[in-house]
Amino acid sequence: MSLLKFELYKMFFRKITLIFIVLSLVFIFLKVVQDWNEDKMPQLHNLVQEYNLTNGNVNELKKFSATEKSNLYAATNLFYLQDTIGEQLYQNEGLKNDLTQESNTSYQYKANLMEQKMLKGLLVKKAYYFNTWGSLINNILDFPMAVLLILIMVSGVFSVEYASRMDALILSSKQGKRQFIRAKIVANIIFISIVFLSIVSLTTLVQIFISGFDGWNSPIQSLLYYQGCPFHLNILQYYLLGVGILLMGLILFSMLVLLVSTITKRPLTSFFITIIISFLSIVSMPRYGFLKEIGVYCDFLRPLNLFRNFSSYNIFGTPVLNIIVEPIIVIVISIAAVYLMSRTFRNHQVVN
Amino acid sequence: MKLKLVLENISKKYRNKYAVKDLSVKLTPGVYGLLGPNGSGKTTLMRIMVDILKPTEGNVLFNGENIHSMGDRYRDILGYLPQNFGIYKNFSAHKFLMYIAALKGLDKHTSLKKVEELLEIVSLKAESKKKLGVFSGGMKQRIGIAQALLNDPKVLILDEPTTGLDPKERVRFRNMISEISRDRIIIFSTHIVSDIEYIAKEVLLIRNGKLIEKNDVKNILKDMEGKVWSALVDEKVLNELIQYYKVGNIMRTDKGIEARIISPQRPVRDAVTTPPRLEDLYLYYFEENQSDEFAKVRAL
Repeated sequence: MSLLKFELYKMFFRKITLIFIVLSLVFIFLKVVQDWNEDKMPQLHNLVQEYNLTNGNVNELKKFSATEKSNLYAATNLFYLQDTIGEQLYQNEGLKNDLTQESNTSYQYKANLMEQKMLKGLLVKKAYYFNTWGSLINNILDFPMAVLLILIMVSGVFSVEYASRMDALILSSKQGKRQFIRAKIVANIIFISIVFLSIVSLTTLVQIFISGFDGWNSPIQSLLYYQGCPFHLNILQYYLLGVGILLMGLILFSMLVLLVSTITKRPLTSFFITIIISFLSIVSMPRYGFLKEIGVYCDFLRPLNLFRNFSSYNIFGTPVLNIIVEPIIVIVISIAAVYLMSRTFRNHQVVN
Repeated sequence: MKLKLVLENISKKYRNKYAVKDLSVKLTPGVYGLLGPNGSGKTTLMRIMVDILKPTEGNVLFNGENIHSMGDRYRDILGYLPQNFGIYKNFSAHKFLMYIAALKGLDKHTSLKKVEELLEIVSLKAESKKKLGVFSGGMKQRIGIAQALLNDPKVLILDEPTTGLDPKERVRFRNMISEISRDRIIIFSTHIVSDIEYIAKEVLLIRNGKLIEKNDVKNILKDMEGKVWSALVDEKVLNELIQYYKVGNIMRTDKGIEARIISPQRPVRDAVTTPPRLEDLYLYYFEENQSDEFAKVRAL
């Protein structure tokens, strides 16, 4: 326990931690403020209500320029509602056609049938105003800058011990080859959870304070990019679930980062490797060869990938949702990373 | 049971060069001085004894059991002060020692007691709340010594422990090591021969990774008897002596230059034998002919 306390102290009381926490907060607050348009938002809220009451007969809409419309995509589905309706109908028709062409014992048939059942009743028919939640999903879940910064913060956890020449003292101590590694891993998990949840909570509170709570119960399908989502969720449920998934992804991915830090001798090297692999994982990891498995982490560092469309794995001819299979893959890879990390650190040779 | 640390045919090879070659030694409680020039393999040997560096060949056995297989059990009875060890600059001396105590698996109550006790011993109690980042080299070294003693180790391995200590601190440290050495195996590497002259039960002389001598100070010095000479010479003779012999201390007096020469034969007619010291032994075994070194100094 006391070893864990010391490891937490080491992680929190570093200059880089303070710098990155401030950077994350500044970045997110700037985004929140930038997204908020004091003049436009109340007007937009009223327009949404009017649109629903008049079945879309609102002349005011024509006053919005194309640029304004594209800037407001995270606040309402008003400007792309017709596209959503069209896309959802097209998707349903496509599925119906596919079902008639496939043999009813094939995996593809079963997957299409499953998708069709899941999509039933999820059609979006009206306009919603969800500025707070659209912004939060956009800033926290869809492009998780905080995730990248947190991963960078934990990038040198082990290599810093090599560089500071503490490795000789650590590895020659009784707890240095077992408890120490465990304490590092647990401290890493606690550190990530505290920093991430603090950033998320603060941002959420500020966003709610600025733009209210409206729109929390809009269906997830009303968000741009989520029209094809097969899950029956409202935006608030998705936001909370997404935060949970992101936290889990962050913790599991950090095990790969920690593994890198046990292999590299210099903190700067692990720092740059972490930036590259984290950026690729958040944006899009190429999915071929061994990268295919690591690419699964992308879905956890960017929940949009897990929710935007129906996606399943063929398990002995039966479709199983990616949201069930991928956590298992990621957990298995992370366990392997923990094993390799422990082995690498335990067997580290103090040469310099 | 009497403690026994045995090194069996230890070799460590880096690429195609041996840092330690086929070294075997048996150690029992007492202080062992590990003496050798830079690059002789002392640090490598110590790292192997601490199990933070794998030997290319050979085994280290503690009471008949391989230290690598013993794992935690061996590290539990081990104290180690590495050469150029690391610190956390933002930790205070007290916090750092508490951290090392946690690494050594000591409970909080014992840790607090031990840390206070050792801070007192190394004369750092007044500075215990100061950050290590502002400590001088000597103060850091004292913290290093304190951390090595936290768990009352049965095997204490000290790599150049007196580096950075002032003469008073060195004497205090030597006395402390001497006091605790009765029921422990203490291996102490140094360049400063006076550090081990009075406290070492045995001296291990190591050169090019090979053990060239292991004996107690008295016996080693006995072998040197008749090989250390003292002579009063002039400048011209001194220059010649430096060219052909190993010359130790040189003292300029009103009567001439008093030189200490290491040689199996009488180097000059008026030279008389003098009792050997460990310093002479170091010169005898490790120093090459000094003429080049002196030539450089004189040219300045």
